[in-house]
Amino acid sequence: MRLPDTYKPLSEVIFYDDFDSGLNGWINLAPNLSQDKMEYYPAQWRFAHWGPPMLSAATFGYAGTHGSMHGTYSMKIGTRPVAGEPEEQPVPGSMGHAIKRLTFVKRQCLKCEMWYTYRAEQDRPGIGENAIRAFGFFWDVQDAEKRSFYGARYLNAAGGKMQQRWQLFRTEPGKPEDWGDTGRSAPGEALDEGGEEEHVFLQRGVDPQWHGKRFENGSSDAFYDIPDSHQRLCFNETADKLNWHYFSLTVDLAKREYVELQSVDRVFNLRGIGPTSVEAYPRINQLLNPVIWIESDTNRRVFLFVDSIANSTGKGELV
Amino acid sequence: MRQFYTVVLERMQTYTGDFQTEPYETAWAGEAMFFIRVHELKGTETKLRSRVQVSVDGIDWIDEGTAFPVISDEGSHFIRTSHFGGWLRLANVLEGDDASVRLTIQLVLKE
Repeated sequence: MRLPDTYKPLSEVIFYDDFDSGLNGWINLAPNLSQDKMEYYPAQWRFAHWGPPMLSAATFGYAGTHGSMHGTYSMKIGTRPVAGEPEEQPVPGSMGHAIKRLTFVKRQCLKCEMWYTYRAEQDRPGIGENAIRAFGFFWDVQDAEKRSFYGARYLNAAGGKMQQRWQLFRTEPGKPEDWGDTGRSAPGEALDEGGEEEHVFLQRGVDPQWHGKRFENGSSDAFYDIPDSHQRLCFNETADKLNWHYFSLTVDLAKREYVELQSVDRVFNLRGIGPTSVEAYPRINQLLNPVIWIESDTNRRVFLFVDSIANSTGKGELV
Repeated sequence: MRQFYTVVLERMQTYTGDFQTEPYETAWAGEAMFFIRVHELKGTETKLRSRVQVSVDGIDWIDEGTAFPVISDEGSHFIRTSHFGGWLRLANVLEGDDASVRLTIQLVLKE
């Protein structure tokens, strides 16, 4: 597979999606339906309204069609015009997600690269830089023993105050009930609705992008601040000007640790830092789900545009 | 082969007043269908009036001219539209005393 020279994949490319040929299997993240009726598990209802992905031409009323970096279309993920306070759990609609669902073949290094940009809706004066709480990328991965969440996000603003630093998924120890609603969340191994034990319940560490105790500065006990990671990105001077950014995250599935994060010109060595891991869940062996998300900080829609994204795997020559 | 995508705009959601679906970009598509599945409809003389709107920028909306027949029962309904440009949404007016509607809305797009 021939990728643009702006990509530096590991030895085997798993996928390269340039959204000029469809959404390539990216879909909204929706909750699990109960086994006995077409309703979501009650513990998950508040996750039923995240913004879906769409093919965007990035068109603005006074600028026209911006297009994407490699063509006309990018994948856009948006929120609704709602937001909770930084200390609150995300309210319905305040996040947008896109997920792609695969399995992994080799337990070795894994790298995500993407070219992206982010904006606030141009429905009012002002560039809206502080309307964006955070955006990021993660993998939900399950090997024979553990389900792990490897993710990085740019914490942009909280309560209107700029934060502008990078964080990793790494959950602090604590009680499951402080993480989120511990009601039923999936069918159990036996697919039998007869008893509580036949269901899956939330484990502390699962879905860190919305679970966990949140703080006034926009962080939470689900995230680890990468030292010296303050970075001002290119947020252009009016809401209809887009500048595409390079992002890459590399992890080591064999050692269950992060390897490296690159954001534009900054490179962070992450070796020795573990992801968030929980005991393996039933039925999702070798799961490999890449996810992209964005979260709002105010009652203004915010958008993440992904020009293209690649996942690759290899023994890892980095760092 | 033509590209195809169905997006779920509302998912078993309850409304007790007027609402609009979230703006959705459709520039790549040549034809569209909106489906409304009414799971539950409550109140007296409850009626849902839904019409298609278009936009040049996803912010300023204009009636496209296509509208659902008035919905006053539970069940599934659809409309077709084409030549709509870069954005689509549904504008919905809910009438009746103590009216509420629980519904799912899908937008079905084809190149």
